[in-house]
Amino acid sequence: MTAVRDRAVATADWTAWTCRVRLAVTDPAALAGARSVVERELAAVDAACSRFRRDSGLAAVDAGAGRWTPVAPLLAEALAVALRAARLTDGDVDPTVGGALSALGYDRDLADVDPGTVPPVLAPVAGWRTVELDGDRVRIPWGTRLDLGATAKAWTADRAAAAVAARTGAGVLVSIGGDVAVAGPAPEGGWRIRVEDVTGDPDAPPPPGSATVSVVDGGLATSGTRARRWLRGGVEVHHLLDPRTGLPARPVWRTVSVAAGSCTDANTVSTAAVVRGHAALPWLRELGLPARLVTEHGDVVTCGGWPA
Amino acid sequence: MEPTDARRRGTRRVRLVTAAVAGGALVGTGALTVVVADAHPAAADTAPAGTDGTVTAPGGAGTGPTAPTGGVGAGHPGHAHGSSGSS
Repeated sequence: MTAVRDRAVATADWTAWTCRVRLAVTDPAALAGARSVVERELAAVDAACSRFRRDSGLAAVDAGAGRWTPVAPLLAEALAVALRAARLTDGDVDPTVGGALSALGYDRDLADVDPGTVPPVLAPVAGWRTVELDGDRVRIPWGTRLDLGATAKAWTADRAAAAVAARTGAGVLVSIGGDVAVAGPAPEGGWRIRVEDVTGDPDAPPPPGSATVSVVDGGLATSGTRARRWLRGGVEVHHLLDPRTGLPARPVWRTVSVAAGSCTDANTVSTAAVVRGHAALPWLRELGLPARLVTEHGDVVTCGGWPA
Repeated sequence: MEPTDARRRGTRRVRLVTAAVAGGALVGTGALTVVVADAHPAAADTAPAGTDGTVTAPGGAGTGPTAPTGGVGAGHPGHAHGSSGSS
């Protein structure tokens, strides 16, 4: 794979989906065009998949729960990706947790979540096997609400990185809230990615407990319980739900970072690992993916060729 | 006939109806599960494409997560191109 001098890497940073977005390209002249490509992908996926927009394709599916609803190709693809993630993780990553998230108060952008006055309530999760996707139409059980948050962000990073590389021919890194996808020729030494509890500014000094690794292809994602936390009726909750209970996953790993052939796969596995708790480590070893797990107490465990 | 018989029979009727509805729901759920299990492989085979037609999907129905071909290397602790954490 072609490498270019690191000094040639140009970056752009902005905020979308309440996340930090970073775009890096190995050809500075391509940066403006690359950003347009990424912004178009973000806008398209938002219109299709947002839980917080009444006019999104996903909202139409929720509103039509119990009957077949036509879906545009982009949402159909997003749903297929989500169902694949559910199947690969035996349901640890499940797109039918939307109702449970709403019951916990996460029914709007995180900054606007109502802390409420009553403790979290349990909302049943229908389960991914109840989602029927048939080409350009989908049917979910009555009362079910979907959430594609576990896959859509990483999938968008994959899409955007591939689209930028195809259009510009440059090497590209797209990070959406820490879901990182790379494509095209990597810079010399690979794309250096700092792994930390909460996605931060890559240009800032590395915080204690962080680690920096390099990748040249695929994607890297970190899931954890340190971000997207809020109070509900005086109880602190987080966004990574165990679909079997409809409640936040029990605290075993505070962050799990995984590298894979795509950012979607990396994030699917890292999210499932947080949900699986103690059972995650043998599963990761079986998968053979490079991974770094940090316990609630800050102890670090690595496997699958992740640098020590 | 006991004066409470009618009421008792009514309760019993309600219980029978409830049991029948519950049984029907179970049968319905089972049938739905079979339908969905059949439908999923085809759904998961869908290959997502970018707005420019670029195929960006992970593998199809029979494909599990794959490792990056270049692996993961140790990076310098200083400057990074990106950050990966929860968000």
